[in-house]
Amino acid sequence: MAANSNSKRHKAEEQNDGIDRISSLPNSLLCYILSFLPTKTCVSTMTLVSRRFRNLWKDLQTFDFCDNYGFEGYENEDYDDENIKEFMLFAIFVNAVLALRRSRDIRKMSLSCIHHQRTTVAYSVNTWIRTAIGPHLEEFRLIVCCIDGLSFNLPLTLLSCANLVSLCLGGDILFQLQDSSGICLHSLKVLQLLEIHHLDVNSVHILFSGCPILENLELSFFPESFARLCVPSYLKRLIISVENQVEACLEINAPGPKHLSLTNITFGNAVGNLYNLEEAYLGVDSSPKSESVDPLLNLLRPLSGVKRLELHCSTTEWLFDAPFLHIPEFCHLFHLEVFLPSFNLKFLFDTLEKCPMLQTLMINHRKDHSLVTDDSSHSYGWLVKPKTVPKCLVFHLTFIHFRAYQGNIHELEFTSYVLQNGLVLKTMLICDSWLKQPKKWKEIISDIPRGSAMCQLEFY
Amino acid sequence: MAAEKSSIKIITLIAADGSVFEVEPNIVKEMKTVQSYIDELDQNTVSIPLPNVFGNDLAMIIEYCKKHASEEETKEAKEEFDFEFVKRMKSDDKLRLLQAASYLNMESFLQFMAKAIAAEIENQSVEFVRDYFQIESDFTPEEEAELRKENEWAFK
Repeated sequence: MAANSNSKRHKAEEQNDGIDRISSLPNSLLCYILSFLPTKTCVSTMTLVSRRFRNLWKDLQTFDFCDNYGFEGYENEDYDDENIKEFMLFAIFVNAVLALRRSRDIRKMSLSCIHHQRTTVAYSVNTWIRTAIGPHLEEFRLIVCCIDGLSFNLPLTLLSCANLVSLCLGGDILFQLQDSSGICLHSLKVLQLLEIHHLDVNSVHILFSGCPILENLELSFFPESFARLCVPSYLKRLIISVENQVEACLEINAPGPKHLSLTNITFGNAVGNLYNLEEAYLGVDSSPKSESVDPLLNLLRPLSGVKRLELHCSTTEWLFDAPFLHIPEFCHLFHLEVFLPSFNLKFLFDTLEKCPMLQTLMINHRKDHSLVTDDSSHSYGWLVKPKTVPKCLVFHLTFIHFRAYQGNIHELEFTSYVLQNGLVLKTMLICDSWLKQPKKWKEIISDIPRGSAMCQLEFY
Repeated sequence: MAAEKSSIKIITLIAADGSVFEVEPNIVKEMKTVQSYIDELDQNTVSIPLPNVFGNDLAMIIEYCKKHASEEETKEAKEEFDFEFVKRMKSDDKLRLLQAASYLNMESFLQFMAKAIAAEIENQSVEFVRDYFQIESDFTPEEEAELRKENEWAFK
């Protein structure tokens, strides 16, 4: 394939020189580039570039307005006259752009700004959204930060945009739906509801009922009381995160998504076998602290067909208590990433036993440096050394990445074991930045005999 | 992976400078311009002239397509590839590839290039943008002052 390409490449380079391509870049392409820039840049910078660039922005159908108000860690008291003045300027800017544009159709709009009921420009946000609503709208993103502690009422006509493909709402947005009559999101494939503070789960269910072809759902919220969330079965990708300590449970029916990510959420009883699932990320813990590991095992069983799995610290810790026989076998899993609250030889070994096809293993530690110790008081060995080598080590496991090697006896035992018994291991990567005597450890580990002739050991 | 409709095994692409590339049908799937050409024909081999694309650009586009068409590559590996792919290019390479992508009607590659260009000019000065697109200002100082005044609301 492409056998001639290399020899001809040099020739082509010579011929390419000195051709003025920029002047031939058509306006449509220039506009396309502008559509990925903040509207502010398109208007204030681009207009001054040259005559040709001067009015390009007026043909834009894509707008991205952001008032630069810091959304991170704001305090209500910080909101003062200066902020109001800044928002006024922002409002003047947005109004001017929307009034002066030549193309009347808006295909994409992203708006992130503050909102305050008591200012003279309180209706601005609502008006801008209404400008975008229409049959041409394909993508819409709204992040609102209400600094008066109230919520912004979403204009519900937005939910009647039949050609909307992607909708993202975040922050202090309130939408309450009584029934699905006004919702007509027949084209919606991507829905993101991010960190919405007063999310009404019932309204979310009603919203789902108006999205017949939704594929991709991302939801992070703060439930006020126990929430039971029921998601459509036709989703392909599902990311759900509960941002507080209130318990929330999820119901999903088969066949279910290909990609699943859950943080702080438990499964309900109505979980079918998620046999389409390929990737899963789990950051769930027993909260409130339950005695039993059964809920987690109930969650893992439907996931047993995954190809890629990531287990976060809380989940791993919970799983430490599980009896070996009750952990399901992951017979298709080829990529596993685990975060360990403390090094646990037995757990890692059991996990390898349960993943016969595993090719890649990533081991991480909790990000807390204070827990790093030389001794083995925070790590767990095995009580009886296993008699048989896990199947994956013999046939499939080629790559092990050990992040944050702390240098305790059980880690060394694990490392020796996999190096000696990993018959197809190609690479073992070890991060030594937490080690107190990296050189000594490097020597010790390098001296371990290896079961695979092609195994490369690397420290970084 | 071969195109189901026809029995074409190898597609020959001929760039503007005459350099020749032989590729499998799945590589050109994203090139709608090429694809529409193939769909009209019914033969084992096809050679398609692409007079608006230079050989070294086409080589890069094919490299990109191969990486992204591969089912063995992980998502992370593809992202890493994209990052490096953009990093090694100069601004005029990107603009040229953007045009090539537009000519070949490659939706996702076009978007990839436009986003890469936008990322570079975001938050930059007017002079930077002029340099980037290799254009001279054709405004007189008076005109520029006038423009700034007219659009005063935009410069706050």
